[in-house]
Amino acid sequence: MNTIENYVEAMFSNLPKNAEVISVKSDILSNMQEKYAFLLEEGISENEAVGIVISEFGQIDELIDNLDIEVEKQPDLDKPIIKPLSHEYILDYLATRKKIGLLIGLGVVLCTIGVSSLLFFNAYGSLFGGMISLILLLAIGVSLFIYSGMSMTKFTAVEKDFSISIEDEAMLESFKQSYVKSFTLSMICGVILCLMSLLPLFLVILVNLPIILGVVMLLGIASLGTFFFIYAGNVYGSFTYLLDYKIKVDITPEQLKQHQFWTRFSEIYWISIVIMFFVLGFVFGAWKFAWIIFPVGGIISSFWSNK
Amino acid sequence: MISSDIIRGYNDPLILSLLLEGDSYGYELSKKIKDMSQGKYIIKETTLYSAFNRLKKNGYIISYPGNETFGKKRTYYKITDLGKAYYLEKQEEWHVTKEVIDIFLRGKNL
Repeated sequence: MNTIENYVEAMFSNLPKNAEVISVKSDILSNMQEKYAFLLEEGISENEAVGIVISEFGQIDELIDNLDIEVEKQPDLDKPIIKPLSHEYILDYLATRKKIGLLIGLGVVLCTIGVSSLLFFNAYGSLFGGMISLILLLAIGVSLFIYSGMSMTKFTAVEKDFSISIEDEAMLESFKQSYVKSFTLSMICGVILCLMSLLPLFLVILVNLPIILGVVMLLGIASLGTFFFIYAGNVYGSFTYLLDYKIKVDITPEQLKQHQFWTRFSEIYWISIVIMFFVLGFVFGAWKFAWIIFPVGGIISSFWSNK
Repeated sequence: MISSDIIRGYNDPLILSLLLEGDSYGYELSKKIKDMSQGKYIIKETTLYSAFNRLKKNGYIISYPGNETFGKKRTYYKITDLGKAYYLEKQEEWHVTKEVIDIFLRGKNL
């Protein structure tokens, strides 16, 4: 619910605060809240309901035109230098990352079970059976990885400089906020599972069962924990990636040139660091100290990481 | 998919037609539009409120505070006689428009 309020606040933030605008804002907020409550009654999840309600908000520009109000228009807003990603593209990106989060997580679990099954069958006599189950499960797991990789290849626009509209930015912020709780819970579950995965190992030693059983269970439980990291990480990451790496829509040409310069500079910089590392190693034999060039290089690079 | 160009010209009469059945408020109207069009037209909040504003300015509807939702007074809208006249005008206009477009877009099999 807060998410919806925050979204409406953000959308109305640039508008003058006269009686008419305040009344419209209040009415729209009530509408959205009523719609949200109705969707929940229909059995739709909170996160999805928030998404639906926000996507049915519309364009704030339409209100600006129709309410006869003057808004400070930033000079470049009419023609953004970098064309913002379309709303559908962003929704597609979010949905795809969520899907691959699920698939990759599943793939990891399957591969882990594959390895466990090899150990298990091997311990109980059938190495051949173990190999078969390993190969089968690995095949499925790897197929999931490949499919996920391919699903993401169409999003070339976000690999380069991109920007998003104000409405979409507010939408992403509110999605991110709605998801923070789930994300935190998932991370906690993941950590707990990974820690608990050690338990079976101790238990089997205590109860004098073959260690291999403990190892198999450890792998199984740890892979479940990893699933949480991968899935929640992808969903939350999809919001933060778009928000953190976007170019501001109201960027000036000079700022954009500066940003592109520093991006190129960064690429060359890091290649030089790697080359220097190998030079120090092969030419001067100073492998023991050469590694320090990386953390130092990282610290130095923070000077321009915002540009 | 519905044509946004066309629906833009008829948002106002659409809302008026619903108000003819009785006074109503924002959410109820947007829900009726979605249900009656069987999901083919979901009106955006900004579109709805831009329409309310236009209709009020033209004197086609009036607004008054009514029941509460979540502790806030709902704004109810009521159609005026001027609004009814405008509605009939647009109804006629639509029938003529539809007739003309149907002549060309009736449905040739390619």
